[in-house]
Amino acid sequence: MKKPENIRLLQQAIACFDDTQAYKQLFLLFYPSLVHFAVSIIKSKESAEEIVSDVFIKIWEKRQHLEKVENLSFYLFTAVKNRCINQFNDTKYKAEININDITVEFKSLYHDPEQKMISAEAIRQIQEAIGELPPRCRLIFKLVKEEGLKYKEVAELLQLSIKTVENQMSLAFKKIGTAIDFKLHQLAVFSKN
Amino acid sequence: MTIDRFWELLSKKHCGEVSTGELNELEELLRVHPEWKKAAHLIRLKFSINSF
Repeated sequence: MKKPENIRLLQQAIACFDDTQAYKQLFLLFYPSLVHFAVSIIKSKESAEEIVSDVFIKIWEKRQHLEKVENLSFYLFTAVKNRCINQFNDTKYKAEININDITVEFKSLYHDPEQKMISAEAIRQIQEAIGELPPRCRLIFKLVKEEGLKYKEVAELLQLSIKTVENQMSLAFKKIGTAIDFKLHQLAVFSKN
Repeated sequence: MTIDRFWELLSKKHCGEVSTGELNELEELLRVHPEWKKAAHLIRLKFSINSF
């Protein structure tokens, strides 16, 4: 998960010192997951990349205001979502975003060096279990666990109730917990034989 | 219903969304249902908010 304190430092460096290196780092940190999120909404990689780039251009243009942003992750995801909606409204589709239609495939962020504490096998099991979650459940889970958004923020971002986010998160944990347990059991049986 | 509540509380705990009251409720559930401790332990080991 992205560390809020690191994001905060980048945010301050950009806002207070016009730090282009910090801006580049912020871009590299968020670009992949924001593009995947946008693709899940507008179903076009080209448009998604354009939208995310536009959001980052705005971030630089209005960098003096950046320090006032309380949660930059939430801010960026919301900005991308709003731009996606605007894009829809600008086109003939005039479609509403339906969360059930979102088939998000975030690039997994579980390649952080800090995660060396967890064995590669354990990570693989968890990723496999995450991959098997229903699309809406997977999207909510990833926004919470990989992007570090709060339940309240995910609810606002996806226009859901907090209760729905809670339910989807408990479903995700239940399925992942059960999958890990089942796989360990299989491993134990296999070892005995 | 109780097992669903267990997963709800466990997920909230590992996402930093749990209140003190809910944490106590989770502990009480684990006291009444010690068979669920294994699941809680697995989640804590492999899926803790600190490790991820």
